[in-house]
Amino acid sequence: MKYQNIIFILSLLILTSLSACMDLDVPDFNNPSLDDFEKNPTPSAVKSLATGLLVGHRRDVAVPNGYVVMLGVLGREAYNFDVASDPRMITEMLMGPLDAGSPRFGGNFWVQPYANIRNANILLIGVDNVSGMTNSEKQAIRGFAKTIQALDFLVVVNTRDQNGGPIEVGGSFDDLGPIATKAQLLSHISILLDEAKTHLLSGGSEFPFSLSSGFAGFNTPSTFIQFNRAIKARVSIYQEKFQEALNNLNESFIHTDVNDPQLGLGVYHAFGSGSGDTLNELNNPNIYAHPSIITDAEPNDERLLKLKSVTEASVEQGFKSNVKFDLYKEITSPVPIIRNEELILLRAEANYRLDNFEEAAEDINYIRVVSGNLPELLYPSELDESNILDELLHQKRYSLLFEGGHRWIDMRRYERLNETYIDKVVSNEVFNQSYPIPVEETDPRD
Amino acid sequence: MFKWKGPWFLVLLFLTTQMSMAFAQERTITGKVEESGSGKAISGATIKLQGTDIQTISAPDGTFELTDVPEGDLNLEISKDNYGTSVEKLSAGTNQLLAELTQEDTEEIVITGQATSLEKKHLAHSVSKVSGKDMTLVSAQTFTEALQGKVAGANIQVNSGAPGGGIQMKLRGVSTINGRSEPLYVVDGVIMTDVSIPSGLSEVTESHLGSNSSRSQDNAVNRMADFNVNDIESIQILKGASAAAIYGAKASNGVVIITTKKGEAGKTRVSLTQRFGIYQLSNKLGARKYKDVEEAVESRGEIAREYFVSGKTYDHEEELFGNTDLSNETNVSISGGTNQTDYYASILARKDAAILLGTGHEKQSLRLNIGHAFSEKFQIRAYTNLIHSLTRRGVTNNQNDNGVSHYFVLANTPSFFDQRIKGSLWPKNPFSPTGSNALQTATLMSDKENLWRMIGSLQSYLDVYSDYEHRVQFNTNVGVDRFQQKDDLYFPPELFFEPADGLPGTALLTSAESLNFNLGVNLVYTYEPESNLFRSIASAGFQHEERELNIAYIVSRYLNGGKSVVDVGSQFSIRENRELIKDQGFYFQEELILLDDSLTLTGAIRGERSSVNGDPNEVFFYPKASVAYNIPGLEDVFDRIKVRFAYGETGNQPIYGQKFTPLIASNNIEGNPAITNGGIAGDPNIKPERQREFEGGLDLILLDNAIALEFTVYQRNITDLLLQRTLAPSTGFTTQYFNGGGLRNRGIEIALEANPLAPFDVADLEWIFRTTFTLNRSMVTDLPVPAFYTGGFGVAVGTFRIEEGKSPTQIYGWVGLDPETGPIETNIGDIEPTFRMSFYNQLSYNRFNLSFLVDWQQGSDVINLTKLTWDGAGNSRDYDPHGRERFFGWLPDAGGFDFRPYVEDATFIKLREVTLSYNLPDQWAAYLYATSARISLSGRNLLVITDYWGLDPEVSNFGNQAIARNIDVGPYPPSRSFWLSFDVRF
Repeated sequence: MKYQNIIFILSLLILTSLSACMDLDVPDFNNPSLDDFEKNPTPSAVKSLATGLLVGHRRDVAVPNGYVVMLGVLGREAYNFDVASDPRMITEMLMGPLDAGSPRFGGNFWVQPYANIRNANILLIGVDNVSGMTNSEKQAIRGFAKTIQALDFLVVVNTRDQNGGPIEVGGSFDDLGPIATKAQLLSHISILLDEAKTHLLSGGSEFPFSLSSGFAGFNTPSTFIQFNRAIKARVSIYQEKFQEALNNLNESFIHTDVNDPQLGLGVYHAFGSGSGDTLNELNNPNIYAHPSIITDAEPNDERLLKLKSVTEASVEQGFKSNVKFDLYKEITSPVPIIRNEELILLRAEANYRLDNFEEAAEDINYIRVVSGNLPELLYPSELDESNILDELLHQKRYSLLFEGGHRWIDMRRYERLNETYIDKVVSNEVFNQSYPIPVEETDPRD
Repeated sequence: MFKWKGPWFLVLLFLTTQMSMAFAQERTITGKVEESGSGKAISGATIKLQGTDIQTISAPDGTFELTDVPEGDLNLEISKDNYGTSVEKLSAGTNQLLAELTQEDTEEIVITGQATSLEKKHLAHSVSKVSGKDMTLVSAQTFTEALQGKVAGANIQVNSGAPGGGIQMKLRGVSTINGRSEPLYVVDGVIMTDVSIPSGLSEVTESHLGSNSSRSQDNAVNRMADFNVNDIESIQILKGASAAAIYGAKASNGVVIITTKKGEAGKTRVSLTQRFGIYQLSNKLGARKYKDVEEAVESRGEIAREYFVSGKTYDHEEELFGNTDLSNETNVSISGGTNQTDYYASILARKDAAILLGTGHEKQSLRLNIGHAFSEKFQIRAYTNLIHSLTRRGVTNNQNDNGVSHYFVLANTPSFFDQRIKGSLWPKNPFSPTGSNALQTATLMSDKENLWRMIGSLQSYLDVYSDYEHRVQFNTNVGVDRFQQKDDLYFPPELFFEPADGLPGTALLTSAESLNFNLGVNLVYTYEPESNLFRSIASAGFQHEERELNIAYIVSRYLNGGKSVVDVGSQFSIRENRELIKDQGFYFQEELILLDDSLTLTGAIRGERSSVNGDPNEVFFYPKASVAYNIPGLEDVFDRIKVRFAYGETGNQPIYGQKFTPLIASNNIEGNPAITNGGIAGDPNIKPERQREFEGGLDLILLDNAIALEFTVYQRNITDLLLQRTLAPSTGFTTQYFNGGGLRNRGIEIALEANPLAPFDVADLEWIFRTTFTLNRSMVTDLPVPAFYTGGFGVAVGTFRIEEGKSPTQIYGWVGLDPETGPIETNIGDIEPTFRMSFYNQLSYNRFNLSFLVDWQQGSDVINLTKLTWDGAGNSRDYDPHGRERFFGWLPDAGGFDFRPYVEDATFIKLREVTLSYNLPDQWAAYLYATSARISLSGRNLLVITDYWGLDPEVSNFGNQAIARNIDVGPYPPSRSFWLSFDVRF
């Protein structure tokens, strides 16, 4: 019958068209693959991955529960009063203890640096395998990658302190390296920075990839070394290797000149409002400054201009504040990674610890004058061995206010993170010394 | 469900023609057997001379010839399975007969394969069938809502009270942890997607920026909600692998087969349903009432003095959720046909005004189903359906760091603050960190989800060959389900929370395009030897399927000029996600009916390969075997005793992308392109999860069909779970996909239908009673990775813990503090219900009909973070002293660390549906030129009995979830609805 023929032809057509779509291979439409990169890296992918290290290192720096805010809260510089969204902003952060199971409260400052450390390792493998790049280009990328990797390890040290963290990153998912001590981590950072410097010295005259505007003035291998040495100086201080710190500072971009102080000279996290970029969210309305910043200040300290008065806000538990930060006015305001003002204070600290009290006093007074517009303290009548550390920590508090946990880290280093040095606002306030290592890291090792 | 209606019913008509007999001694009777009504030829009917062995079987065209028949008056017995027996008196001299047999309406036909179906009595697995009639007693916004409480073995729960959908159906417990959790929906041969696509609201609520980065917190609609309930003829639900193996690696969560209505030959029928209704807020949280100004100041700060007026409070929830505008639904269907062609056409327009200011749901649907028989051997059917819906769901669920989501803003809005507009000025809320005023937000924001969907399929049936014993059929089907979902969200710069990010005003444009395409060919060979020893149905087929889903999000901030288009902004972000899955499968199935129809044996195997598997060319096999036995020769009490056993395997495909380890290339810094590692490692060897299910059951029909009972037990073991193991972050990756571990579900399902008055002769009164009982227990039997947390927001506030030997849905949280080791974390609940039951009663008396459906969930727990938020903000209705005790009992500093008060029992009894209807007398209907008319009053969710503190124990902040349901984070509140309906048939 006729329709039978039609059906027969139709089904033949269907089968033919089916055989045409027998190939079921579907690629990943959304992302490039890691496999491809490691096996067959192209110069453009290598360069994008290098720029990617800046993106990875910037993650969770300037969000309302990020590095600057959370370390600021722990160091009694800031409050995040967003208890409606999460009461733990107060309960865990100010009344403790910190929960090892929560990514929001500290876990991120473990996951993100290690992810970026792995990024750098992926990049370093790619650089070894890429064809179409010159040796000096490769060296420049290696020097850059290891410097950023050192900074990521430093985030681990700063947030975990004595809890330490692993050094080996990038091996098997199940064969995990041991958790190194804080001292081991710091010396690993120090080695990375030195290796980076060696690479950079043969890194040619420019980087083969794009750096952000936060690296203005430090965006060639030779100027980048000054940044590398500045970081090394901070690490040496943390390691209590004070002479080494002074040597590193000499190779850094430290600069003192009353007529042209350039305290802001340095390297910054850059932010952008374009699609795929990241905003600086430190101006979030829930973030308040700790009122003690006002009450502890010397009269007329110009650094108080970093703050502004607002209507008082409070939370159920009794914390309140009527000041906010006026530091990051724009959604694209940069956040310092390291800058000249810190270097001068690092030099003061190194000199103090090497008993060069007069040199230390000189740098402290320089900061008092150029940063705070305060009168000098005469050495040794007003400022001497007995009070120089107090003054140094005081100046550092105001100079590096809300820039990345300096207060918390410094008070911890000098064992002052307690109620002898910090007034309790409410009786059950506690001072968290460090974040715990996340359960995701400790569980597989149990 | 099922319906038993008395003994076999038979209609016989005959035509005789006078014919002179030439040779009396060789009397031959010729004739034809037809189905009454349709006139369709009936083949294989037995025509037997009563009291003799003289018999024959009708040919495929229904004709027969009985030879060697003696002279004189005689009785012919005409019989056929499912048609019953008819005895025909033939007088001497009459040698021609046209016999009509009426198909029994007692035995349901149930789909048993891709292309075959059997009478229910042969079925070896439990099957739930719901008729379209039972779905439309009370107006339902969505198809899934209309199923609530009607299926044994199904747990159907709404995610919130928002209009337009957002409902999850889980069959027989948890069958996966990270895989797809929705059943497979097959509508007239088309695979229809139930995907839930987030609107992009999280860009404003920032719900994904907290400790759970899931973007599924937008209160999305599950897209099966689009389907027009009124078009449904019947729904058949295959609950597990033993029934659904033939659907392979997409069937682990069960298969829902929907058949839409078709026309019948005869008079054109027009049916009109008009409903009017209102929705009403059915539960509130309430708020703290302050005794005096000092208490207000103590809690809210000095600013409270400016606002507190003793004894003056405002009901913010009523102001926000008090909308009771009229809703309506109009549904018209026209059906009819000739012997060759039938058609069914329907049009739906419904509008639901929801309780939250500015929200609502509209749906329009057009359907045309046409069947045409070119001959008795070749037929085609075409189904087309066009759907449009417009849904506005407002801002609810989780938020982060801002005053956007209503129940978070209300947590910070004390009852003495008047949020209502004053003249043209909105009062800024001084108690909210962003000054946010919930009423302002609801009034000024807008969100529109526009959906256009086209579903079409074409099926052909061809009898390739048939004779007395053999029949070979070839059929094909092609189906397409295509939709575009477009979300326009607009948050004007004037909103108090908008300037918080420095970028006043946000507009979002979300566009999702989905295409499901499937194509299949089937060959069915039925063999029924003349000896009647057995009946064999063998089928084989091939399917090809493609599923494509592309979603793009455009977010625009800092808007100019008060327009909602995205190009007026000054800061943009764009995301896009694409996926494509291709599957191919083939199957072979044999159904054998033996021993005088009492024994049914079924065996089947399906082979399948898919692009989502690590190796797209590897074929995975899913076998099935089952047996059903009806005990023969029953008398007295029992009409039927059937025992059945079934075993089957199904799979659950990997999610697109799980085999890849991606680098993320969508980031940049100041426009400089950047690639970073994505943190998620794929598995190049990923394969489907495998479910092996064993089911046994006993079906009883007794007391002259007055009671039908189905009792089923099952055990399903799922292995090769798609696990997302957490990696130590120091590897640079946080998670990796892999196959491993095992889950087990065991359960009992009971379905009982009774016609309690049937044995008694009660005039005009009919009572139908149905009840279902569902009990399931899940356990993780094998976990190759350390126990891990999944879902929720961390163990301090309740999360789920996947742990060997424990229920996969157990809730973990803090219960106290150990001074040595810190907070004590332990099991503090489980979302698995102890059991579920439902009761349906239908009472008819004369023209009145009363029906009601009660849905009961016993046990199950909810993580109530709404309560934690309100307690934390000091604004819960029982804050003084209970809220304070709860909160400080949990607050770490108070030495509490006890989260238990926030994990609550979710037991509820809901009066899902109530309908009282009255069939107008025929003469009244005649005034309307109608054949029948009915008026009814009905309601949905009129009554809820529960001890739950929050709004509704049916809740899911994260939408449809395999595990992490039952998390309450400021949801859209529940409503009850009342309807007045008119049904008129012409």
